[in-house]
Amino acid sequence: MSSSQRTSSVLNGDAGDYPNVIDIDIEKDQATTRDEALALADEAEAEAAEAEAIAAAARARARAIRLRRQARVAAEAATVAEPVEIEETAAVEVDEPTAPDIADDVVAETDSDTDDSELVDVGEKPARRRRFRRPGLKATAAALVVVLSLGLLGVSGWMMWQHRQTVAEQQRSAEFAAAARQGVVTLMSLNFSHAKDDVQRIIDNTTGDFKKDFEGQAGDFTKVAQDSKVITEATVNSTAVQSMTRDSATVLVAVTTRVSNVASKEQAPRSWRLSVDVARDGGQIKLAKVEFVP
Amino acid sequence: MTTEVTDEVIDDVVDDVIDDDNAAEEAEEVDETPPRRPALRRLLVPIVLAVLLLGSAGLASWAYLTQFRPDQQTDAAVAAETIKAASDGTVALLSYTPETLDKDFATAKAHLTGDFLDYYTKFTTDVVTPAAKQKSVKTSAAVVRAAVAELKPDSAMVLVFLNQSTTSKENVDGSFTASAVKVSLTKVNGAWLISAFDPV
Repeated sequence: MSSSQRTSSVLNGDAGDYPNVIDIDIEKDQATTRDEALALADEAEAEAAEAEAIAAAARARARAIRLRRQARVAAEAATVAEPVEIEETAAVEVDEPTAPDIADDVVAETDSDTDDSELVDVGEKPARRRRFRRPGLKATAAALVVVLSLGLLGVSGWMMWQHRQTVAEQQRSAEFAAAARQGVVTLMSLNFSHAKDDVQRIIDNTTGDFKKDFEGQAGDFTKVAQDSKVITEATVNSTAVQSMTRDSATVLVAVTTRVSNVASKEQAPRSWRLSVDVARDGGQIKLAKVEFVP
Repeated sequence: MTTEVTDEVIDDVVDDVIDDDNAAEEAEEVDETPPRRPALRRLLVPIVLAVLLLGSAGLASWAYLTQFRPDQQTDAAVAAETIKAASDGTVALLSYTPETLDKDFATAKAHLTGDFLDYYTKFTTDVVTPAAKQKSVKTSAAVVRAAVAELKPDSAMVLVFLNQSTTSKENVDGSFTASAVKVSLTKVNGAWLISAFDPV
């Protein structure tokens, strides 16, 4: 404590708090006149107030700057290291009763342009003060925008994922329909001149019980075709997938066949309504069942 | 005198603080623009947020309009709707008795639209009505199987397997025909109506 501060303490009537100081002061300053003492006291008090004001103002400005920066950094709750020097500069505090009043005035003045009215408690630690600060309008808006954007992105991602599923399903459906079409054409087209090859092709395009059944009759089938010298041509008119799982489907097929043999050049076309089951068999979709719809 | 000194000191302190802040920011945010352009830096976050919001909103709109909604308009529920519309329409179209011809055709026409409606109206009036009345033709149709061959948000094609039995004065026992028909549908005011009827 400087002598001026001590003097001011004395003259401000704080004597009760500093009984020892008073004793010493009285002894030392016996020689000085009353006027001189008063003048000195005024000056000391002014100096003390000034120092206090400077400190308070500096602290307030420092905080204002810090707040602005924190607002800019917004939602990023980065743990900004407190500039220790600022607190030290501001820490030139004097236990004068007048200090808080002046400090408050300066704080209010400095803070008015930051729209931040939270700096009520000057003497508290900055870390504690920040915990009670409500987020500013800008920070709230920014957080809202971020949340909204993330929500929209999430919904978009979900919709695009759904679309991928749908497209994959449509492709699967088209695959089954194409396989059924090809399988039926193979099954119902037969040329006696290469009957053996045709029958083998049918066996290659079937699966499961249907394949077994056909394999058992393949010999007779080939013989009949060769003996009757028949040529059958099948044309698929339309296909529609009635139901579908991951690896199988039931497909409706409307097909027309034209039969010709040596005896009668060509017969009238015949239409067939088929319900065809297809299933995956070793990476290829094959006929699993073919029935005529009555 | 006091205020002058105060201002000076404050300026000094503020300068120090700004330096400190900049140093701290440079250390924390490596990918931000340099501190020499404070205006740009102040606008950076709002601009980034605006771009983020507009971008995500645009993406969501695009995904909804070009993917989600068309998919929704061609999902399994819609497929079932079209099958029902095609089946009901086909039955209405091919079922009539001489006593209730006008009523039967009126019911059938409620399922039709476009050129096919015009064709059906003309055909039933000019050909079917006289023949049905003269020969007492009675016919009824039943759908055996039906499945969707093609489905778009506003149009569809359903493959219908149908059986038809017809009796007349000349053929009292009746004749039975089995056929397959490609029924084309168009969505009109939310309802699926038959716009073409092609036996295959």
